Amino acid sequence: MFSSPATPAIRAEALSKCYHLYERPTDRLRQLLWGRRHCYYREFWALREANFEVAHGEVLGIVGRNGAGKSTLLQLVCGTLTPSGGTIAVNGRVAALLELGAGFNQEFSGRENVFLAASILGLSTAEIKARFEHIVDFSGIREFIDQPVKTYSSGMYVRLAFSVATNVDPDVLLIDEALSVGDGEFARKSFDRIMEFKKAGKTILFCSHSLYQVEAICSRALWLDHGQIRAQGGAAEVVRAYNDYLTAVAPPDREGNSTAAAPPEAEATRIDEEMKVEPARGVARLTGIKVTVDGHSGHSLEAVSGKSEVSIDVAFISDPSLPCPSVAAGFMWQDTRVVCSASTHWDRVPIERAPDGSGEVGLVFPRLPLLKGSYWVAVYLFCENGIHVYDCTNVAAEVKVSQTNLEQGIVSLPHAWKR
Amino acid sequence: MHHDYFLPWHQRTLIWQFVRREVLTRYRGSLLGLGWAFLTPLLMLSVYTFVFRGIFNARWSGGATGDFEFALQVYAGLIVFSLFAEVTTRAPRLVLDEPNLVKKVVFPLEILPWVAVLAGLIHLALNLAALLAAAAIARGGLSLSVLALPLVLAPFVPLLLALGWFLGALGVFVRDMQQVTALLVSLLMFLSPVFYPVSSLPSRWQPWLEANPLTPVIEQLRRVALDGLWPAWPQLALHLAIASALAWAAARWFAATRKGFADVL
Repeated sequence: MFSSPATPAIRAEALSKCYHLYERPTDRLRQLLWGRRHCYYREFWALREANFEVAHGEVLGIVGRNGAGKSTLLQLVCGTLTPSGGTIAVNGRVAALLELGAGFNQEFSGRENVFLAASILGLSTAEIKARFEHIVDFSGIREFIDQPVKTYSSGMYVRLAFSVATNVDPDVLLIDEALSVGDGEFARKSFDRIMEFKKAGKTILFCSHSLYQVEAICSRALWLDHGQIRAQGGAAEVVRAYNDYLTAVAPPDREGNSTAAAPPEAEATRIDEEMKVEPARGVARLTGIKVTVDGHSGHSLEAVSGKSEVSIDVAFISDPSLPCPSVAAGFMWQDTRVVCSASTHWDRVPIERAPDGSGEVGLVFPRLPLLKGSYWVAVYLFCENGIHVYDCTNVAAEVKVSQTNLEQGIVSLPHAWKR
Repeated sequence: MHHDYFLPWHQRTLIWQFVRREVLTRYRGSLLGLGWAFLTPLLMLSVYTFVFRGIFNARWSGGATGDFEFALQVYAGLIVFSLFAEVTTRAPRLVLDEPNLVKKVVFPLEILPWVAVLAGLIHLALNLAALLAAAAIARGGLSLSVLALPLVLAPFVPLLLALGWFLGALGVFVRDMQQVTALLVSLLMFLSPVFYPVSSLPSRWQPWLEANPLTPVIEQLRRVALDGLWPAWPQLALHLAIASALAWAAARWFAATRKGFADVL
């Protein structure tokens, strides 16, 4: 990169994308040939007049509802779509973690696909050879590298694709939805890789429904709504404005978490009893959650507002070679909107961990301030920085809160009347 | 634009990856492997020779006699024709078969015809080697004029690229191009001088056959590989000029229509 720091990594001016919807493929050809006289399509504006700049080393979060134009924006930046209006200028090599493995050929071995995908990204044979060992090491699928990729599991496929995409030494990284790919150890590894990019001062565009993660890793954010930029600025402000908007629109319409409104029984990750688990490399797991209300524990509990004591005891196992994970727990409405939460990371509470990597921590809500309603207890196991999710359960228990008075609202805050 | 299309040297890594994949897919996993590259034309050749010589009693006008000599002449025609047939039948699907490369990654689509042509040329080179070996055995040696073979084939490359760009782009929008090209190829097999030399036709039909772009390639190939003559230079130059002009027009067409690919795939 020889461009001076003054030139932005990405600059979009009046950037627009209009999709032309054609009934038949031949209509597209007619449009190309006789487009001046007739119109053979319907228009759909996915992005309208977007102006923004991303400085080198900046991490920009993009939020918005499904269909707001987030993916279109990322595709315009990486060049798979051409703008219908305006300009987009990108300085440096772009690695897109959008469609991992899209350039792969099913019939060919992992080795051949590494060469194919890397040459599509613009590397010469010599450059690919120099990086090949590193790519294979990172993917962790060395024993399968000479098998055709059609025999790969989807996890192996995505590992190899991620490894190629992030080993081409990109200047700009585009991430759609997930900060980590694959599962278990690789999820942690890929997350660390992206954090390394952030630390190394690479420019990152991060598009996600996880507002928490946007707020945690992005310096600035941009909110797209129906193809137009509603707001841009500091990540915290934009996320708050977007969150207010989401709360104002009908709650069932809320998109993002697919587990919304699932009944407690459907929750797959519910953990019943203490399980004896060996710590796996690079990961951490919840091994036991006990929710207790006034001495009774279970999955379906009743509590009295302002009187009951709710305690959440969490046990986990983790890779002892990694820093100790952090735990967060809280109450959720059944549309998965978080009512309140607490985290050991943000409260700066150190967790005692045994040498084998297991640990326990408890959270107590004395004189439960929630007002009447039905709440889910959610528990998250995060990395030491409180960003990467190792494990989670949204429905550790359901707590039905009853009230002895008619006080209105969600929560009864500590308060005092002055006379 | 022109150097992206006509001299894609900076894409050599990518083109090589694709050509390799193309050649290997055809034979990978099959028992005979590369043997098929020879077995297929050899079997076809035996059948054609049997039908035309054994049943129709055809004779090669211009002195060549004997079954083997007839087979050599037909083989020379078939080598050229099968490369043409392969590229033409595949051309409408070149872009159509790769929606991921159109929509999901930034890819120089203009190299796809190069891949098809280069993969076909490797095939052609193998068969050409077999033809020369057979001719050397039958005649006890080869004429120096075989050195002109690459020159004779030179106009064929822009012609095939032209087909690749033109049909490749058209096939994305007009899905029945495959049926059209399949029909065209089977008609052209008999309308090209594969089983007969141009000189055996009545003189009023000969100009029509000369208009077939395959005719000069097949005739020139026979001239240098089998008849021991040097190419007819003026005809070769004219053919090269026409083929290059067609390739240029086809490249323009491809460049103009490619922005519509992503909308219909």
